[in-house]
Amino acid sequence: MKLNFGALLCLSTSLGFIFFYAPEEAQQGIVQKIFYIHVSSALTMYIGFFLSFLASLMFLLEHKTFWDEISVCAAEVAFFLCTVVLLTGPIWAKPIWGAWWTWDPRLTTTFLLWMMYAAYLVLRSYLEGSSRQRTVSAILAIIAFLDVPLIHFSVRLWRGIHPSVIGSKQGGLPPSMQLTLTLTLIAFVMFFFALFMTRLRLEQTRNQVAALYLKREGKS
Amino acid sequence: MNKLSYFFGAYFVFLLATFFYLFTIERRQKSVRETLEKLEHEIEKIKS
Repeated sequence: MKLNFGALLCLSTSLGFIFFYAPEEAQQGIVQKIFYIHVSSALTMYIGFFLSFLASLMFLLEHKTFWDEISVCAAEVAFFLCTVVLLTGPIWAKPIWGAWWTWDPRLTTTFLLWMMYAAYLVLRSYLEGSSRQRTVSAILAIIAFLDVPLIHFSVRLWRGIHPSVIGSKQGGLPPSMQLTLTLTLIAFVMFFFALFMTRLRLEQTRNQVAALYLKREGKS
Repeated sequence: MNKLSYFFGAYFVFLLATFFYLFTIERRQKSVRETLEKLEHEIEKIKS
């Protein structure tokens, strides 16, 4: 509850900073402010998929349900953030590039990631109740994660039109934009964990229900 | 469309996606809780 409240407070504060404090970029104007939610969603998405990847590895090593719960919840919340990235990106691209979508390396690899995790979530529900569900899901989550470093380095590996803001040596952001981005990023990380904990409680209750079904079948 | 529409559009889409995701979690939570209560009740019945 405290985490939810903290996330809400942080998100409201960062929105206040985006709307009233961050300056408008000289060439792009107000539309550049989409950058704050777009970039923060993307970076938080990386955290989520990395958490899912780690938990999947741990599940394959230890076969504990706990790791599977962590993996699926982190993947689902990160998938939601990936959807936000793929929705806000084209809205920003249209007035700047003149097109909603181009098959740029970063855009394509991000779309590929979204499709792989969509397949992961569909496969999980398809294999519901099967003993192989957790193992197959863990393997798929590990394979899908291999696309994440590819997304990050796609800007440098293949020359596309998508800019690289984080880690680029040229350019950079003015301090007021940096502060707003940092605040938004903190807010999104808190928002991620608030959603993750809510989703984790749901997954644990679902597993409790599955255990009770088995218990009922044993009694009757 | 002017740039302001794209700016507000992006934030609107973000909020809409968030509410939709929260709504799906809430709906699943409600359904699972109902099943849990039903099962616990049934097990109590079998025990007695």
